[in-house]
Amino acid sequence: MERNVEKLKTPFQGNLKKFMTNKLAVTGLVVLVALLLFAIVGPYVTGYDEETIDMMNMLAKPGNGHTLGTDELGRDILTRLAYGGRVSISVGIFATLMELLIGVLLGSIAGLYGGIVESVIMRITDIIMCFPFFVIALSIAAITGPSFRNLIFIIGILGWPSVCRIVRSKVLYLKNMEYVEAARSLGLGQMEIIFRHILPNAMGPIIVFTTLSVAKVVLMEASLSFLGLGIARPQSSWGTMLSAAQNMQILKDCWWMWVPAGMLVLLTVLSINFLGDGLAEVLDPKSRGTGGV
Amino acid sequence: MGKYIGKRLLQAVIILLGVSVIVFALVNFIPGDPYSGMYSPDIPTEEIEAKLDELGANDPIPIQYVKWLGRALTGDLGYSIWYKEPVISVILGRLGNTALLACSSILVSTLLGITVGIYSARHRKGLVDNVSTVMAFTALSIPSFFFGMILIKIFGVDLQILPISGMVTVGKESITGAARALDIARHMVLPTVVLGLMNAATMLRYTRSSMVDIQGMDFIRTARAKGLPERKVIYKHALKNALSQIITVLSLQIPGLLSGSLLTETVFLWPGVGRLNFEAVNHRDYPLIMGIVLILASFTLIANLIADISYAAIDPRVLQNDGKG
Amino acid sequence: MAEHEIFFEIKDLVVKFGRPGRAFPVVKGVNLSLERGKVLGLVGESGCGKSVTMLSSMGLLPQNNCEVSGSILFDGQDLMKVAPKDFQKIRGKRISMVFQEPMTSLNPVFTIGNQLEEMLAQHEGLKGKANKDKCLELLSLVSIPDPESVYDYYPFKLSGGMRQRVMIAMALACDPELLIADEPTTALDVTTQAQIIELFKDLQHKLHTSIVFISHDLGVIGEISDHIAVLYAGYVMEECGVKTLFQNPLHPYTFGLMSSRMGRTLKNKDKLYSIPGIVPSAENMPAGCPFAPRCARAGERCANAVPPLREVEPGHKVRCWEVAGHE
Repeated sequence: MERNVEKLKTPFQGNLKKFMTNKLAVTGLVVLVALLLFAIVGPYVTGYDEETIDMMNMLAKPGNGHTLGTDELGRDILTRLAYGGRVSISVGIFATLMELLIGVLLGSIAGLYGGIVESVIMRITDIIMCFPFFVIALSIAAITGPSFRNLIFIIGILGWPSVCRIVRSKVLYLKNMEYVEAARSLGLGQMEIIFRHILPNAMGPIIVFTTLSVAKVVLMEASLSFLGLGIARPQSSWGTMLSAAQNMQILKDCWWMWVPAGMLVLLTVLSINFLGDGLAEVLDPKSRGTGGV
Repeated sequence: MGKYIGKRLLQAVIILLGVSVIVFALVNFIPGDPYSGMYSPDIPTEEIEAKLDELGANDPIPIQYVKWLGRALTGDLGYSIWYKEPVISVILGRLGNTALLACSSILVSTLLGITVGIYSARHRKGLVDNVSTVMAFTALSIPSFFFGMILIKIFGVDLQILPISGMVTVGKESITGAARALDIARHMVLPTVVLGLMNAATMLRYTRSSMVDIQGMDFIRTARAKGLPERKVIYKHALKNALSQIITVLSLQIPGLLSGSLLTETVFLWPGVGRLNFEAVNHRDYPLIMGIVLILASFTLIANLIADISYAAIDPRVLQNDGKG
Repeated sequence: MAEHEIFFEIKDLVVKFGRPGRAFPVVKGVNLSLERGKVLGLVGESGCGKSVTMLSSMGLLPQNNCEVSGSILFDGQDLMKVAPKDFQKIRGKRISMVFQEPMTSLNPVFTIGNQLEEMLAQHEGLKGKANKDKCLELLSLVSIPDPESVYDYYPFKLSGGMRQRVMIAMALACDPELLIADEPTTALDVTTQAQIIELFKDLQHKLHTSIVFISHDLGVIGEISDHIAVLYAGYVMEECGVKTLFQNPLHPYTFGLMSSRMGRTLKNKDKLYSIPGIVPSAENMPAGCPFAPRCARAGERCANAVPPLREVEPGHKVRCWEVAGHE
């Protein structure tokens, strides 16, 4: 039903109100901010350094000066979790940025120029999407070797097709709209039209994609690092910490070495997913597919 | 219908060619020649060179590609460096185990996902809907290997009620018949739970949202106005419309189960293609890696093709619209 | 069949939409009645509560966000008190409905035959050949050419007009005592509209089905109805026989509707009349007569109190303070 009351507000206020009523999304946002704070500020508060080795306290249980215990080298788990969080979350953000860079660029080009250029780009997305993502990522990682930079490169190069498709369909839809026609008749160049008129209107789906992609990449990083093909020493992430549990003894007896890291991955991904779902409801209702009565 | 299938088939072939180009490029990226694992070091270099020439390893890249493709089409995917066996037979040896796990988890995920999804859509914002939404999000957010390790810790280590790794109990490999089936079934429980629940979450989200959409449609009101029992309105009129969505999810999940079970198979030491893939990566067994990639990509394409054909069978409009675009 | 027997009657129907406690009334105490074999026309702009009124008679309002009160008497039975399971046996069998949107009202993934057949199987227990014969007979009844082929068609193969004929065939399948037609011609082009109206008139003549015909188009309503009720913002504004309404319309709103209708002819294009303003939304309903803000004749009293529905002459009811005869 039409609600006149809402017409009086700006779209942003209306969206904000709608977002705030989604309890899961707001919870997700709050938890996410808390996690970010932990990763940024945490290392200064725990009183230990990432690589400080406590010879007297190897594999110590939680308590006794180490809130979450220590690992096999006597390093403080809580401190390492905070540092690991920085790495895991940065991989999520940078890889997503790379996906966006490639995807938005190629998507705009495909949508705007059409013809053979479009066909070639779209067939490439088909081909990449038909590869089993994880298997191919693993295979490339095996060739390039594990490192922060390679990880971002691999995920970026494999992850752009979905945002490319989103942007292309938006561009196709928008390029024939009257205001874009008007801009064209005013003599604006193609790229200017894309950046000033089309992309701002495709922002909703792009923002939703970005949040959900960060979540996906954090999971991907954890998985690849767990297998020893993501982040390499000396850097460590939640995923590399989890890989400690590949040792049966640690899995059985030292839960503090892997359960907290796994929980942080879960919590981060879950809160981003809740946030993304809330944003989708507001910004891109179709992608969420809940309409009706 | 025939024309439609032909068109889809042609598309699939083109994509498969693209996939093969990339796989071939990756094979050529690898330092050293792909045959280096196949001969012993004491063979003289000239002899190797002569053999490589004969095999075409020094041909121009495009010719190499055509030859490689020709071999791949006949099932010759090269020779595994680690297993010292043809790649194809190594993969086929493991495929059955992966398929077994895939079937049991698809069964769990489809049953659970569709029933709970329909129920949630009919009773929106109800208790089941709210709980299942949060659970589905959790299942989509948990790293599968972490979930697997927690199950191992709880059911295998602490409670000691289920085996935690492998496919058969060590020392009982020789048993046969029902006892063996039971043993395998017990080993399947935990990996099936991990894969089944994670896929059920996706299935549930899609089923729910498409059922919610469909419930608001005019033809559902028509079905009610006709005086059909609610059961028929939902399970006949609404569900058949939701089926194309459900098939889409399935067509994504089946190849995903073959490749995505890599972590689960690794954690549970399940002797399937996933773990084989990880072993291949660990041993830098490139011919094997590329063979697996090529086979899994083909599976993905076949699954997509079957999905496309099923759409047309379910919803006649697909054929209609296909003509337009 | 008794002459002038009123067998369908809506009494004090109130429908509110929204969350409990914050619900807005959409239908505000509507009273309507229908004699057997007659056609009642409901006319009014979109959003005036016509469809909601009739959907409640079918028990098809969404259950989660609306409150309904009043009574709907159908053949001596209060439909408001009928259990959902028993309502199923009435819907489609004794009361059936044709909807506004023929393009979306048929299920796209089942054949026409299947959608027709399942109804006969459900209510009449017809199976096999008997069922198919009846389906084909129904398709011919609504003048669908080549019923044999259409039986196996999926809806996408048919035009809007043809689909609406199928919907009508479906609605008539079980020989209902009451047929509700909710804007059945609105979504169609003008020529098809005329054909469907002809079909309704023809069927009514043949089958003597009692019909409630909803439209926003007074011209359409005038062609087919015996009795007309003009609805506005959830109220019945004027109610009388079809002749009376066209010869002696009393309510300013009815006047407005008629003037806009007249303006439709091409000759008068430049004089095209439309009622100023828009229908107030459920949240911003004025305190007095809902039509007052748009009414040229509105006085002070109109802005403060809702006028009652009065019988100003036998069989002619009007809800207006300004119509003569009010003390």
